[in-house]
Amino acid sequence: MSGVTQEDDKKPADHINLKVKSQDGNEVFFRIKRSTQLKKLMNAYCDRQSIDLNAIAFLFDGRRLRPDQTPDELEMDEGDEIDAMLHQTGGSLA
Amino acid sequence: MEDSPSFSLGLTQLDTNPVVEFVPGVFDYEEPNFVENRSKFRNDPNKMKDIRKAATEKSKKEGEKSSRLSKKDDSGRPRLPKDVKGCSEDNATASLDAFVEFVVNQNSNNTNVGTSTAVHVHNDHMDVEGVSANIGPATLECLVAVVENQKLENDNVGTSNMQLPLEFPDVVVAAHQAAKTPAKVTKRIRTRSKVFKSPYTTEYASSSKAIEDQIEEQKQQFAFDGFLISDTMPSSVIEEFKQWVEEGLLKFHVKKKYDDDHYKVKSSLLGFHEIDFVVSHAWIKNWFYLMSQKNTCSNDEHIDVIFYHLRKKSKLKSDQDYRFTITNYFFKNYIDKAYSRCYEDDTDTVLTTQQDYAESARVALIEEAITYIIKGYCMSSSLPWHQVDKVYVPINCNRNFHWVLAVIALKDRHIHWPNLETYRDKITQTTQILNEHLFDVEYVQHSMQQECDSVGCGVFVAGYAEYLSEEINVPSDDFEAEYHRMCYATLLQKYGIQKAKKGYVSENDDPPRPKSRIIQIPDDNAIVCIE
Repeated sequence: MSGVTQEDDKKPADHINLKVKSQDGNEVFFRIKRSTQLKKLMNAYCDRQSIDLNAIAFLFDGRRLRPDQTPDELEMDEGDEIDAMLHQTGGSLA
Repeated sequence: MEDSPSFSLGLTQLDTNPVVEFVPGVFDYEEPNFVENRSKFRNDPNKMKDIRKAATEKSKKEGEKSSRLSKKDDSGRPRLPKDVKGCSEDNATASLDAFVEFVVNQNSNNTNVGTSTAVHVHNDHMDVEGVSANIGPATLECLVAVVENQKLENDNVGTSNMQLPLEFPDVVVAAHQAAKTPAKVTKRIRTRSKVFKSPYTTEYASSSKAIEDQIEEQKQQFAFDGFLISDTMPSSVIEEFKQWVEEGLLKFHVKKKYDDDHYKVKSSLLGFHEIDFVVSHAWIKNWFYLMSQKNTCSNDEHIDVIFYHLRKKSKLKSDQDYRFTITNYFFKNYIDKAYSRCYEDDTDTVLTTQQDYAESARVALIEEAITYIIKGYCMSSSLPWHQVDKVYVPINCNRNFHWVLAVIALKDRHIHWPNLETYRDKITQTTQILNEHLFDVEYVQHSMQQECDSVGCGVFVAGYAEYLSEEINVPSDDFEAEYHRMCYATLLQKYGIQKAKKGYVSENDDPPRPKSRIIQIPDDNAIVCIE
């Protein structure tokens, strides 16, 4: 069933599932080691979506993620959501 | 350390007599006065036994009565000038002192301890809990760690400090120990905070140096501390910043694209790892360059950092009548998503039960995200909306390449669009969401407008929010975008560098985000595994 279930405990504890959500609502799930730098996740996400890494910002709780941070450092929990937002600029009217 | 006054000698000798086994554990043999006393006591004649017995029994009764601290006994003694509470406080402080001193000796390389010693000294004679609260967590842990081994000795030091020890009937001392030590231990076990290094710690161990340092440069609590938008920044400060930014710029930096480097190789380095603005990080000068340049566009990071500091200001000024909070720039994205899911899906498409279920879960997730923002969970330093009068929402109209500010007046159920007048037509498509219910939407007329050829709408939005938040009338014209841009950049640069150099860490008093009730577990093959 592809629905909503409670946490399953089959996974080893040193891995967590993270969800990267794009601006338009697309979601990609990643399983990553808690001690792995998020750089890997960012690169993998950008590769899959064919976006330039520099074009998007990864946000967790409204804070921009640095590539060298790890889920452990950020105290991420199972199923946490990362927002992948396109950089937004604004100057004047086009 | 003075020893007990002579008038108490007789009683002391009697009291300590039967507890020969107890003495070694408790008292310090190196204390010369004590040894002397003990030898005196050994020579004491037996005829004093009766008096001693009577005294012990009497104090035993009293000791049983006193539930917590045995020192209550002392209140009966006329020669102690202090009242019961004062006495126990003092004694505890003294032994705390001894504790801290001991720990300092043991961990002289630990800077935290040094600081807490200083703090502690100033807090002499405060009550026990107050003192322990003022000691940094690191010290507390050290204390807890050593307390098992050292409590007896420390107690000794503490009591001899107080010139009391020899007057105590042993039962009382024993009861005192039993009551006192465990209470301390349980009180001081605290969970380690996220911030390992106290923001108040300086690199100096000596407290006087630290104070000097503080006087020299006051610690800012947020970047705009002490500077209002209506203040005029001295031109020398701006010049200083300009010089800093211009150092190492490439010759054709102005023509470079937004993402390109504007600096010569290696000259864009800040000199330290990075500046932590909590919601974002600046590690090269480019960040400040782009922010201060008049012909560049405002990017979400800059807007976000400015608004983070405005939020912080609002949070710290809890005494103000007027309160506000500011959302993230991507708050609108959530609204958009929720809107498109909830309102536009009135087509005839028939969903299967499973699809419908999945869809509703998705909508619930988006709504949950919005709820969290409104409750103040998901944004650094935000206030929950029920505590504020107004919410400022920076909105990026991506299609129009423009920043606008919406003000949601929760009390009046109003949404103001301050800097929107001339762009009204182009943006109506984004406002339809807000137009629907409950809130009247008002387009504010005659507000300051940017010139059509400028690209400063980002700083307009920020400046406007700050004017409104200070309840200052927004100047209807001559908003000097260029100057304010420079101001913001200068303030952030100064604050950031000070923060990075001194190793300050922003305190994180945000409530922990509640665990989502909706957890989606996708199929295993839909998960990308990263090894």
